[in-house]
Amino acid sequence: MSPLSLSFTLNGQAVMAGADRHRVFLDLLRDELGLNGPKYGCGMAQCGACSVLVDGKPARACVLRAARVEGREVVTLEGLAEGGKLHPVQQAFVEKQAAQCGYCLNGMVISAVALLRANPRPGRDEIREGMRDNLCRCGTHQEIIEAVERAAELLAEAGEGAHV
Amino acid sequence: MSDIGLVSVFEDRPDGRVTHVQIDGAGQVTGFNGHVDLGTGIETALSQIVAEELDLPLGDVAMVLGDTACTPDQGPTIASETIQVAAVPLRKAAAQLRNYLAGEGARRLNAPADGVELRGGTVVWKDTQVTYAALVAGKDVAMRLDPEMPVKDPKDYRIVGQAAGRVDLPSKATGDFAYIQDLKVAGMVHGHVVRPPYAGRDSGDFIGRSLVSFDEAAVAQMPGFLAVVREGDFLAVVAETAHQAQRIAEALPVSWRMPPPAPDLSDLKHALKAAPSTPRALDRTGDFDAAIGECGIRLERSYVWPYHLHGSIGPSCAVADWQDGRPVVWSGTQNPHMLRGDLATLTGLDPEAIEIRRLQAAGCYGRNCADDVCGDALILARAMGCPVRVQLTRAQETLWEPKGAAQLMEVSGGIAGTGDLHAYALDTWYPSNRGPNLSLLLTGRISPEPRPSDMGDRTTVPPYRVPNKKITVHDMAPMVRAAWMRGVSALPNTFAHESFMDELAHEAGEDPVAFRLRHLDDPRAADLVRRTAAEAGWEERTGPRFRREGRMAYGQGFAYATYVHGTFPGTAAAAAAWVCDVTVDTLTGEVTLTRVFVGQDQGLVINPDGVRAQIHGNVMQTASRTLHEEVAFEEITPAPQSWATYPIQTFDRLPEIRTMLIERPDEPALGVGESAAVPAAAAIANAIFDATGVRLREAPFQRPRPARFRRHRPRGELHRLGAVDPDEHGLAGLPFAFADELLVRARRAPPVDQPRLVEGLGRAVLPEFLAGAGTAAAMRAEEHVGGQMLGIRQERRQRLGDVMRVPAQVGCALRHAATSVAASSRAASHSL
Ligand code: FES
Ligand code: FES
Repeated sequence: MSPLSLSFTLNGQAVMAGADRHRVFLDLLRDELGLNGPKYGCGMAQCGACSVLVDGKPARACVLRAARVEGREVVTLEGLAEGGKLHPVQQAFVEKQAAQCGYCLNGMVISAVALLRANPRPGRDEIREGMRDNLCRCGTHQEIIEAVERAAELLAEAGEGAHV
Repeated sequence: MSDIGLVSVFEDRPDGRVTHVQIDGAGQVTGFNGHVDLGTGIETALSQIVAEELDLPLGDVAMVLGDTACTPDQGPTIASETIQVAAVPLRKAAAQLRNYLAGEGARRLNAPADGVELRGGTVVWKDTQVTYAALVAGKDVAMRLDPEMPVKDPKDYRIVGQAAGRVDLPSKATGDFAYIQDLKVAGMVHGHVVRPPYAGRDSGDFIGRSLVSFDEAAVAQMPGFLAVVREGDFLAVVAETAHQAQRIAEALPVSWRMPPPAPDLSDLKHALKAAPSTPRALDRTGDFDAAIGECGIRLERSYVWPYHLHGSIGPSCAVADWQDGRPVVWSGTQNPHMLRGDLATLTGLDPEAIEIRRLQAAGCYGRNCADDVCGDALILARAMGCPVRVQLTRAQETLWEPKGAAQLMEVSGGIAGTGDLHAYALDTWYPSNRGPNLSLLLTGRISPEPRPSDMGDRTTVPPYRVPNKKITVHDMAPMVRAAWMRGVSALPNTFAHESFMDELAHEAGEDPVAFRLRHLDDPRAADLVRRTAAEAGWEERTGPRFRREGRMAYGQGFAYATYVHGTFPGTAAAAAAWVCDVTVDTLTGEVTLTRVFVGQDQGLVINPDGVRAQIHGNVMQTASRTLHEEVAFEEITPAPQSWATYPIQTFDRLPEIRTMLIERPDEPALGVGESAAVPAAAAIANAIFDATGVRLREAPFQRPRPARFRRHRPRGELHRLGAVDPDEHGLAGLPFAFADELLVRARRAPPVDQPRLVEGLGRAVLPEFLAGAGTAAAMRAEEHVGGQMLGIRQERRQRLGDVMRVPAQVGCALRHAATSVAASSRAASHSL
């Protein structure tokens, strides 16, 4: 359990952090790096509340060992907005009021960003399928699906690849 | 603040002076309310009310909700009563402030008092104007609330009734918003609780008296260790970081006395009737006993509702700072003032000495562990003399949360020769209370005796005209820890009423909606039922229609309820009616809810978007509860410890949802947080009946199949998600089912690796299996009791196997009904 020294990119900035090899990445992000976006929900990769993007792919930080992000590029909810302007997916979630308590929102936004990158024009069923491993107990599902559809429009307007 | 000026409106209440609304010299308006935002957007709705009275843009109003130091004690945020009850003095206070500003403004502008106009934070007269800020600057005025203060006429509303975006949403979308789980207090250390083996139980001699010993020396050298704190059965580790606290807690050797088995809840109906209860007579109109004998059509039915999890997505969290006996507790509680009383009992302090600061948490839908964890944090803060944060794990939250209670309803009723509903009796058993704070039970501060409560009486009286009624609630203590959950007892009671009405209509050979309308005297309710049926495309029928396409059967169902909350006879919140469509796979019994139309009458609508969001949430959550959810129990504790064994609603189950809000701007605003949930179960059951001719009287309509969830993902998927590397421990290729083998390997590993290994396996491979003894500490406890727990687990595994083999309830019932269905749908739909 000797401490590792890790270096990776977090929201565009180079980060050096120490962590023992079993340390879970979510703890590192929240407790040491001061981030609030990724949430602890289940710790078992079941709910998605802790989602982050690692090299552009969604990952569940609650089961991801910190050692795995060495040399990777990590983007969290905090890193999506650019120059004070909301990312189109965030903007779409606000427009469609796609949260009640909002505790699941981090996972929903991160998953939507990843989903839309892989499939810029998903149909409703593809959205349902793409988001199905994210849990929301408040039952905001309808608004979330509408937000993902709206985000696809906004991204298309903004032009491909303009955002993370 | 008062050097820049402050004008406020206060009220002297029995528990002291409270301010309802204030404006400072910078023009900032703040409203105060004792209720809290449970994720329902109440902060936005209350801001709208204040902004409306003061003619301010919504963004200029801030709300402080639920801080005990500065908000009134308005009781817990339950029963959807924030808008209906708690907002009333707030609105009057805002109107009074407006009155003051108008008067001051008129004086300043040399205008007649009734000639000025208020708009956008200024008082205007002809072409002169003065800002609120300028009027307040340098003033220090506190006005007593005038309960007679006239409020704005709803006809003049510009903000209330308009869709307003949630004020808290943009910062939530960027991760800037601080939930209770995100709070950091300077100098804070971290506690991790070690709970006793009797998870989810709250009565019996063993409560608070089961901890035999623990070995602090074994963990004192671990990194970050600060202390082990014990009081009765309360046990926790404190460390510098949360991560360290958890590791130490898992490594701490503890021995507990084995608790006695929990009541057998495998047959809920029997268990509920067998437990001690006290009948309380409610509505006794007419003479039921005589009248039932006069009925030509007569039915007796019982309906069973299962235990549910509230299932907050974020486990509960709190931070406490002792501050030399004037503690501050940061909390996600639903009921700050009630919590303060509990914490006073816990510490022996005067309630006034304790301050609760309320932050938003994950949605709770009722009473979860939010209050318990405040007790935990406060005990630790007192022991440590510095701020302590405690966050529960998913398993702790799931095991210990006071469950949404099971319920049994027995209905007897009949129709007289005239064709009218003539007699109706309902007996309801609701084993739940207000969920005494766990810290009080664990420390022995309060006795672990069974505590009944009176909350089974919600919506016990059917809304229909019946001359002879006999309504009885059987007040009873919880059998396992249980407290209110969305819809409280009204949801199961309505499941009974509205299924029974459907059954009677069928017996009488009448269309179910027409039958209801014929017995509905309240014109507003009748209007709601009529309009909902019409808008939703209700198809009249006098029996099940057995619409089939191949193996799929299709049905449509109706149910209506006015949610009556508060102790009998209670107060009405919004009324809601459902029309829903289901598809039933006649081979597997799988039910899919495809479409839901909800009509709702909530009087004046404050924020239509907020109301619709509540309806959508109620539909999704309650459909899931009705169709799929049930807490299973083991010998000692509830079974589920994670979402693997308690699957909740997912995107693929989203039906098409449509809403119709009935506009009644001249009627008082009614609570909408739960109303749309209340008719759900009956509407779905009635739709299944229409499709299949089968009556389901026991929820969930499809038993959960625990093994179906995440566990069945291919191994590669686990890798992708970054889970534990199976190769690392020589586990690659080991089938998931070999749980015992995994445990054996964990035992063989060097002791120092055990916690990590077990935890890793628990996370990656078999969450619900290993979480059962998911820590080294639990494993030791298990050895201590001679392997008893292992035996239990094995038995449980066998039972899980059984559950998996049990066909879905619908499938089962379908087989019973198969003959009649297959023989002739016509014959089966006959009416007597
Ligand atoms: S907290 Fe990571 S998936 Fe639930
Ligand atoms: S909005 Fe509360 S869990 Fe999704």
